[in-house]
Amino acid sequence: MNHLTPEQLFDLTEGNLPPQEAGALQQHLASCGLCQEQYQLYIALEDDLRSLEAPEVSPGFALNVTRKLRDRETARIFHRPVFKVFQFALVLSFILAVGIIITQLSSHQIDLPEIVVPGGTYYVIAVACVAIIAVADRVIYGSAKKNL
Amino acid sequence: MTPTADINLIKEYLRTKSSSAAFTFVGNYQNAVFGLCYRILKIREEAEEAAQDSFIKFFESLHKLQDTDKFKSWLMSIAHRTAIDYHRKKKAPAQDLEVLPQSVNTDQSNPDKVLRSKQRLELLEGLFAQLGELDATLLQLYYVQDMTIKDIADTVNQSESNVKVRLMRSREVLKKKMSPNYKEELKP
Repeated sequence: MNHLTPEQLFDLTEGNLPPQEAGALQQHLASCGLCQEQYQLYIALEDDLRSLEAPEVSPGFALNVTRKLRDRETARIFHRPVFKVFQFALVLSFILAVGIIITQLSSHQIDLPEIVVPGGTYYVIAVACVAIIAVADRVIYGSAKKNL
Repeated sequence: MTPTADINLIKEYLRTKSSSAAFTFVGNYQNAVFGLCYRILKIREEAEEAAQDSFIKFFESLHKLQDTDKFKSWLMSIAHRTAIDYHRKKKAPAQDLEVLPQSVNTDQSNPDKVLRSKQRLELLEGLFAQLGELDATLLQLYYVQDMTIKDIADTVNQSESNVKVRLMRSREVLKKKMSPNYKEELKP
């Protein structure tokens, strides 16, 4: 039998061969000093390769990753187009509210009027606005998610 | 932690975006991902940054993963690509295996010292650090991560035969360079 090829030595050290073929190669190894030496060198190298220790990550690595993930998720929500509409509506509401207060103060009527819209209250309007925004948000975000 | 438990963590994250599921999963694979990035980038800070990016890409693309059983190949494949991108940004050329120096910090005047296991591993680390990015990746995944050739082939997007040939070639080169140390040790 010729000397073992690098591939045979690889398969033998890695245990990739069927028992019969491995047996034949082992028999050759027992009678060939050169192949035996090569085999031992590979075994020694592989032992060392398997015992190489990769450096460990810094403490807090997993926490940093989780935090970044959460931040990115939050950022994504705030960058949804509908959230921008919501932000605009919020600013507009604030400006209107300030306007009303200033008007009331300038006319010395500090108490807010009881009912401004016939059949409704500020509370009803606010709830209706929030409901509309919430429904629009689900509809728009739902279709956007499908397109991802 | 078993792969089944890790798959459950992935499913939980997909369902609820749970931070605790992500945290536990990262804890289980942080050293594997960092180890691979470190082998390619060779600089601790950069490797850690690449490893963080890899996990974020992994979680953000999880919905595309068809077979959750293959999550490890998927994760390592993302880590491999991310580290290579970082490496290319540095524009540091990878050294070819054949041009590795014949000896790295070996103290030939004092063979007993070289024989000591710790120093021999340091020598091997030195040689490992000078491998090209793909060869370092293959050795890391095969010998340190204990992945199969098939899984490695999926991870680095190469054929199984190519992975095997490259592994054999790297092993052969390392063996040649390490032989003097091993021969001393193997002497009866």
